[in-house]
Amino acid sequence: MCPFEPKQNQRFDALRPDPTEGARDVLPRLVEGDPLELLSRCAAHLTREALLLDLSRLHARCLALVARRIEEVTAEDNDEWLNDRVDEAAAQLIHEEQFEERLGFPPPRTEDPRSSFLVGALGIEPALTRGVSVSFHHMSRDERRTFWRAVVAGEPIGGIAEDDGDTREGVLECLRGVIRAMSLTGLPEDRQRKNPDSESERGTP
Amino acid sequence: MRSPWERDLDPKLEELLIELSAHPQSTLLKVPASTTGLGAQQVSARAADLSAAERELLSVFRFELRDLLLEACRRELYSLRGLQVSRWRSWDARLHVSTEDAWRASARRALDDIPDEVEARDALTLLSSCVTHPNSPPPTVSQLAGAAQRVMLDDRAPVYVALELISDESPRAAMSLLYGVLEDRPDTSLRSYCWQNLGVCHHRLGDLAKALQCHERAMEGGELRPAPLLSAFSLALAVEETERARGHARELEERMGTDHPGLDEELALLKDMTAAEDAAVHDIRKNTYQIIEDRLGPVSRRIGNALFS
Repeated sequence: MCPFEPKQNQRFDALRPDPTEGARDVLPRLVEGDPLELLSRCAAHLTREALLLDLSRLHARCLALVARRIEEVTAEDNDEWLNDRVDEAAAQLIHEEQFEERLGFPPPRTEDPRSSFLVGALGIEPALTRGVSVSFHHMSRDERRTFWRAVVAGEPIGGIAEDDGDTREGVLECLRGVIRAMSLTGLPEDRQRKNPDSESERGTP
Repeated sequence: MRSPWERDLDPKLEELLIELSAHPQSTLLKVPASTTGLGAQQVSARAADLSAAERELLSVFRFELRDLLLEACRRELYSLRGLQVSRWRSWDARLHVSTEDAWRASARRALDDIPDEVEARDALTLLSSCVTHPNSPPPTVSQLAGAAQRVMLDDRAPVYVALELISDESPRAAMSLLYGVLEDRPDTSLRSYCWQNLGVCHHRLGDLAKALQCHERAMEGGELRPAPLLSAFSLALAVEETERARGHARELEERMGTDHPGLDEELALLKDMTAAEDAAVHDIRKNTYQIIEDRLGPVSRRIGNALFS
């Protein structure tokens, strides 16, 4: 099945009728009514990859990326190309967050559903939520998915175990590891745990 | 016990959270939990508006600028001698490095488009000088990487600077940078590059056993590229670790096969790097000899003359 119907292709072309237009000209057309349905793609990506990112921010970054790179689109692969942009937008946000966290300043106090969620679900102080998120995004996709299903989606442990061909104890053990690592993020013990070998070799020339 | 969560969580999960929160250093349940969802309701409620998208566009430009500068670093590194800068990112995937012309075209386009709001004027100036003065001496890797770091922090930048330092025969300074990157938890791929180049540094300092260890660590975590394995094989031979050499050789046979398109290229890199490493070890030995030469007797001097004349 062709993932992008001809009607959508035409709409895609209509977004940039003049090839000399830049990203700032194209952007309003991408935002108005979200004709490329990027919001739902972003939401699906967050669930599929189990990422703790602000959906609204991801959507905005994705719109900006598409606007900037729209001339790369060809008729054959635009569905895949759009999905790649969603992936790229998420990677950019994760990258930024990681380096902001390294600078050590607390996250801005603007409304962030991801932070609200971590405060609400795990009772973590708001100022620590960005670090927790960075730590979470370093985990494997399988670990993130288990956390997402149990904590974000609130699925019963038994159902997750059944789907994954695991036992309830196995799922709980995985969750224990994930949540424990998240709950110790930013503390001195966590810093030592992250780099045991490089710490010990730091003294070499 | 009354659940602290407004929303239903699996009781076993609630128990787990409460148990983990009892750890003296745990940050769990330190503020009242309630749980607002991250899921479906957010999708319908929060689409981005134009001003938010325009703000994000500035970040997109910053990433573009960073990528251009890091790409310029990579291009420079390929021209430096004695480094193991492979063009293979895995056994079957070749790294794409744009041609000089393609890079210039992208850079020109970025210079035309990047708005004044992007706070990276020094990077833009550097990029501009790369594009507009093609015959002037190119900026160094350190200059390009430094500019990239000011645009957007990225662990690749210090690794590229470390490579330039290795090429400049400053392996200790390179090691300091590489260990610094490792402390910051880079991804598996970059971690592997760090260990590989630490191996090169140790080799240049004459510690072959440590160099071998580093190349072997570069293969941990499922990171499979030809370069560390070729080096590990070569070093295992040098330190007479026959079983390790045979193990690495077996893996090379399995993964590379006899007709791998990158074999000749990787071999040339290995030979070039080994020659540079041997030269570095020779220089260190000579320096040490010269420092103590006055205090040596005739036999030692004769050996020194034989080695270094």
